[in-house]
Amino acid sequence: MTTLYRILIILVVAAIIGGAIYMAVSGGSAVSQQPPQMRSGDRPRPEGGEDREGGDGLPFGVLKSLVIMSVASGVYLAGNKLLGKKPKPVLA
Amino acid sequence: MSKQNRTKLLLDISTFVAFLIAMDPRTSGVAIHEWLTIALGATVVVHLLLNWNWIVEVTKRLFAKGKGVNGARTNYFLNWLLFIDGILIMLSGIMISETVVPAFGLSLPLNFAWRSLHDLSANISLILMGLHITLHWGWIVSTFKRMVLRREVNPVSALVIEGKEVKA
Repeated sequence: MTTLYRILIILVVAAIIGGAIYMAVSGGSAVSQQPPQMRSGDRPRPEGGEDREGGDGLPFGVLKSLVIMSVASGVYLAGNKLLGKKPKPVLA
Repeated sequence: MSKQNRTKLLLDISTFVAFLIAMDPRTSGVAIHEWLTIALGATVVVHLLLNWNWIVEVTKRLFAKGKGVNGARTNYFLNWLLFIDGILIMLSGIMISETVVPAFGLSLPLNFAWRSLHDLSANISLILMGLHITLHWGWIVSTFKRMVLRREVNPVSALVIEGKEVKA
């Protein structure tokens, strides 16, 4: 029962945050009743081809993700080192 | 090593691998990308449930002054950012969904802002995930070592060490 309450709390918090984001993003266009227009920087998801059915099999996206995470981690650790702080261990 | 720690580690590693696959829709394809991300939402809920006591403790001590509180506070706020960013990814992903939402016979209004938000929040999540893993690296390594070392222990000595297994 406790677990169910906890799940409910997580879902309610997520729904509140999601609702707020939805209102912030869609609020303007919903009020104006205008169809969304594509701006110069926007691009629709390409139809067909690699994006739909999978790419060439080389996981460049995975490598890119790992590199970005490593860089973020390195910057954090370097910042801590410069400031003379030691990263705090987390027990859980 | 406690059973819960083992479960936590296995769940976290699986979630991380799924996260990496989901972050590369060009390789996996849109259908896997979308369904896997929905499944990831469920594993995040389980992850939060398994760490519920820590969340409650840090929330209580959030405004307290003391040694060691600052590190936990940074970690706490980072986790909140990751949670909010995760919700933004899920929501924007649902709004531009090509597989999951149509599978339920629904169609959502087209708004290109969601597409930009989805890309932006996904990139931010990589940075936040990198920091999240860095802050928990000590726990990950120590738990992994304990898990692996336990398997490497001679079965006979394991029986002696663990009383329960001796009875069994």
